[in-house]
Amino acid sequence: MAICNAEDAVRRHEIIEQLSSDLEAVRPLAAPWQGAALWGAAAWAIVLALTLATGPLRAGALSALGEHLRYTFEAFLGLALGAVAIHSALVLGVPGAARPFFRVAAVLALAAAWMGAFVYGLWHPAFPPSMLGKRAHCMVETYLFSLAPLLLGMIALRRRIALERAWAGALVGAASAAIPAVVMQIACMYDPLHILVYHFTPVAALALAGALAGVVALRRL
Amino acid sequence: MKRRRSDAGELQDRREVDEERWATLMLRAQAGDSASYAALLEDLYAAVAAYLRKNFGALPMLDDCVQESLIALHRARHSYDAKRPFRPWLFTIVRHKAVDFLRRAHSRDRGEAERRAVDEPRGDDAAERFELQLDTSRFLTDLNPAHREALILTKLQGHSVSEAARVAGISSTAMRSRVHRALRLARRALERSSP
Repeated sequence: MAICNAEDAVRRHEIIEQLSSDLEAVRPLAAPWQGAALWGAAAWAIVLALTLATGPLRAGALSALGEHLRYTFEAFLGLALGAVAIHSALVLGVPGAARPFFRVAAVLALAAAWMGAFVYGLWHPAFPPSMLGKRAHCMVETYLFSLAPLLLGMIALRRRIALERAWAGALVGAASAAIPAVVMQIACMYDPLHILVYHFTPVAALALAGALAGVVALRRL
Repeated sequence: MKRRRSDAGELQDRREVDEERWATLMLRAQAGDSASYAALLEDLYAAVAAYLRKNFGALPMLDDCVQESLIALHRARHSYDAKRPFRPWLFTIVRHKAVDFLRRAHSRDRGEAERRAVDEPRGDDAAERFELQLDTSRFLTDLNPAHREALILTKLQGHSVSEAARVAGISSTAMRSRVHRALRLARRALERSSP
């Protein structure tokens, strides 16, 4: 027993010595809200620039935001989904900071509310649906415009310690697609069915892709 | 009753002192102070070992698990946020590494045992010792007898799945499923436990 204890003490001393000698200073992580704000600013700038570079905004879309509360609320839900999802992903990158279940549940609730608003709109649209402003490839554009925010989100998350890599990746994916989906609400035609099929589907698909990317690209502890 | 209350109070005080001390030492370690970091690791070595012993029992592999946990803490030291409490950060990482360690040990054992061509008889003393160690483990005692037996036979006594299935009198598939389920339950129990 004494030999065993002595061996344990030696191993203990060795590992502590090994880890603490030549210790380098490390830069602590930025607060999740700071990271989320930075990511949001960059992602919005990229998506808006790409959207404007590939076509105009729908005529009268911005004034409709002020005139139709429901329409504004639909856009707000998408905005909130993106913000909460990226913040949650960055919080999950701090061990012990939050229980993944609650974070994911909050994002799912927002996604359900956003989808629910359009499903309700199938019978009671915010204003009469029309083909005005239709973009020929809005779905492909939503996917493509999500890629840069996804990449930025993964880079931000890689420095963190996301123990639940798939969940963290899924949240980054959902946030990345939520921004172009909201922008398409303003840039593309207004029809709840069109929005559900062509703008909302990429959010679910990017969440899945993000989960896969999280497992592959985020570092293991 | 009074004695119990005073013990709980002492434990709480002790935790608060540790919390403050560890947070301070970690902040200095993040700034590159080796001496503070060595002092912190000394403290954490004991705390992590105690936590694992409480949850897994006094098993020989726990020393390796403590070391892996310390290496993980070292890699993740930049993720400690001084505005948040230290203990949840610490024990979330330790729990994660412990479950990871168990999972790897399980698949390694399975691979090795399946490669083993010859049965090696095992002494009753060893089996009893493992049983005794498991009895001291809080979460393993919470498992039902079938799951507990599955873990003892495969993970602790090192039997292959087919050997363990023979001993338990069930099919290999059923034994494999029991081991998976037992590990999942153990993980949940670990996640529920508050350090």
